[in-house]
Order: sequence, then C-alpha cells, then structure tokens
Amino acid sequence: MKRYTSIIILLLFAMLAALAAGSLAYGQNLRENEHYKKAIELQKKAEAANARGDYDKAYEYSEEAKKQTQMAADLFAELVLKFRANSLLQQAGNRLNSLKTLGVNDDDQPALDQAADDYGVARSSFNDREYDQSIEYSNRVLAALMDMEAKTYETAATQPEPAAEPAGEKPLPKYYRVRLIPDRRDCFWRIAEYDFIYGDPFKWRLLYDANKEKLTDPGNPDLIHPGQLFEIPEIKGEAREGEWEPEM
Amino acid sequence: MKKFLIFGLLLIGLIFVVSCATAPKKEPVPAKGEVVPPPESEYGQAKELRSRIEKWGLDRYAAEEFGAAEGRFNEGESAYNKDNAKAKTAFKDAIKGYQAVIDKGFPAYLDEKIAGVESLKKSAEEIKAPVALKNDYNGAKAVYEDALNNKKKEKYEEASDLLDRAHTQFQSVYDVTLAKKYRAEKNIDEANEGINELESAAEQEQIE
Repeated sequence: MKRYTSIIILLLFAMLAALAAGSLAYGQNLRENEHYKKAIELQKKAEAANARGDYDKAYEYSEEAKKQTQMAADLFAELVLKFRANSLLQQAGNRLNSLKTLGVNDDDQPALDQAADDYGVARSSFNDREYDQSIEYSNRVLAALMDMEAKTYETAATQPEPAAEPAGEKPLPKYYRVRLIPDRRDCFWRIAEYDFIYGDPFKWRLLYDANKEKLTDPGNPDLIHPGQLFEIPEIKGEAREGEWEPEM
Repeated sequence: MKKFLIFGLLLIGLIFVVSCATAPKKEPVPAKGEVVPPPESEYGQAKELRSRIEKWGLDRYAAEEFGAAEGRFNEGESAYNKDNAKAKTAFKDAIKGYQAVIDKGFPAYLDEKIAGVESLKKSAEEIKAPVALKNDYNGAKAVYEDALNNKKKEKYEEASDLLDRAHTQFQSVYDVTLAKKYRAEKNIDEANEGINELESAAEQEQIE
C-alpha cells in the first residue's frame, strides 16, 4: 500500500511542477486581448458615428472592428490550442518520467522507448507551434503509458503492504474550499488542475458532478462562489481526508 | 341791333368751336361700309396666354375665371374676320381673364411643388443627410432657396424649373443617405455578432 501511495504522490508532484511551469503561462484572458479591446473600441466609435449620421465613418469603423475581431479570434483559437497542447505535453512528460523512474517490465521497454520518441516529436512540434501535431503525439504517449501504468500499479498493489504508514506524509485533501483569487479565478477546470486535486483540468466534470447540488444553479458549472466547499471524489482509490489548506 | 346780331353770331360760333375742341375722344367708329382689319395682335396675345395656361395646367386653380376667359376667346374667334371690332373687344377681355388665371394659378401650382420638396427635404434631414451627404444636401438646399426667391419675384417658370431640380436633388440625397445608413448599420450588426461569438467561445473555454 505504501508503494502504491508513493507512486501516486510522485506522479502528482511531478504534475504540479510541470503544470505550474506550463499551464499558468497560458492563462489567456479575452479582456486582455489587444485585438478584442481594439474591436470593442472601434465598435463604440462606429455606433457614435452612426448616431450622428456619419455613415461612411461608421462603416469604416465597424469594418475595422470586424477585422480586429477576426484577429482576436485567431489569436484566441491559437492560445486555446497552445494551452491544450501544453497541458497534454506536460502530462505526457510527467507520466513518462514517472514511469521511467519506477521502471517497467522488460516486455514494455520497447513501448516505453517508442513513447519517449513520440514525446520528443510532441515537444518539438509544440516548439514549432504545430499544436495539432503536438496534441496528437502527446495523446499517443498518454495512451501508450496508460497500459504500462496499469501493469506497474498492479504490480505495486500485489506487493506485500508495509506494517504501518510512515509518519509525516500528508494525505490528499477530501474537500476544497473555493478561493477568491483575483488573478486566477477558481473554477472547476482550474480546481481539477491543481496537483492535490487531479492535476488534470479535463477531469473537472468529476468535481462538477459530485458537487452540482451545492451550486446556486446546478445546471451552470461556471457559477461557483468563494467559500463553497466541494467534495473531491477519489478516482484511483487514493486516500483523501480533510479540507485542503493553502500553505502560508 | 346789327351789332347785337354780329356779337350773337360770334358767340354761337365760339361756343361751337369750344364744344368741338373738348369733346371726349371716342373709338373711331368706322363709317358705314369701312373695312376693320382683323385684331391679329390681340388674338395672338390671347392664344399665347392660353397655351401658357394649358402647358402648366393652371386652369384647375382658377376654373371659373378660365371658363369666362375661354368664353370670350371663343366669341372673339367666332367674330374674327366677320365682325373684327367685336372680335377685338372679345380678345381683349379674354387676355384679361387669362392673365388673372395665371396670376392666381401659378403661385398655387408652385405651392404644391414646394410642399413636395419640403417633405422630401424633411425626410432627408430625419436620416441626417446634412451630415452624411453634406455637399449634396447643401447643393439641393441652395437650388431650393433660389426657387423660392424666383417665386417671390414672380418668375414662375424659372421657379418651377428650380423646384423640379431641387426635388430631384433632394430625392437623390435621401436615397443615397438611406443606402449609406443601411450599409453602416448592417456592418455594425455583423461586427457585434462577431464580438458576441468570440465572447461566447471564450466563456465556453472557461479560460476567459
């Protein structure tokens, strides 16, 4: 049991480091998108010109607003794709490293080597801004690792359990209280992304499903409030207890 | 006695001379059997006024006066070359009548045109043509004001032509302004849609 727990903790800490370095860099905010801001400003000018009867100017401003909006949308789409590519790349890298550290069966070594090669392609594609390709290769890595991880954990689970839990190891939290963070608003996506939760923002729906009845509008996962206490369901049998407390 | 007789005759002669010298002038009455020339000038003038009225359709603004003038004109034509003296008098009456029709009908006719131009001008102003199409609007307005001045000076034909021009110009100003307005508003709506779509996409991605 101790080894099993150690593996999970190792994986989670690895994810934390990677996500902290990667995903936070892509906290895109549409309101900070220069093209978006320009488009809004131009639209205001267009409406003012239209109101005073300067229709040619109004047309010009709104035409420019359309161009700026398109540029904002292109940039936004690229950032979203980059964010996803980076998130997957980090996950793939962390899990690959963890598995390398833990070691795999000899039979799986070629598959692990192939995953490492694919990871290299994913990383270079990301650097070349070929985000679609990067996502494709990161997914290949994650799919390949899934089988190997299952075998590794299975092996770990069949190992004789140690007599007692070592003192000083902090269990994962069972509850998370929504915080008021001005720069990085808490939402299910971001909560799921925390290493002590799942380290994977794509698992946000697990959190939402388990806590939707606590929401003001259960049908709207976007509407959560600071102070709300959410339960964190176990996903791999990991031990969880207590409420998470931020380190001071 | 002889002196009195001479004096009396002289007095009678003087009275005769004085009375003949101060008698009112009368149209020369043609002597019986004398041929009176046809009143060509009066006839021509009456026809000219008549055709002017027809051209502008002024008879509908003074139907009664026009009817009377027409009656006299027809009488003149009937008497022409038969009883030219009568024809002349009839044509003179017709001329007076036609002129009255013109004096009453033309201002009324122009007022109708002015109302049409005024209405169009107002419509153009309501869609802000003075801003959207400043030069064209000012051009139309100048022509319109010129027409009004001509009407004041009783230059009716000139005023009418200018009002037609002003009407055409204001119509064009209105049409072009409206097209510009629609084009601008459509584009603004499209731009707003684009922005809304982008905002929705950002919300869905939960990374706004």
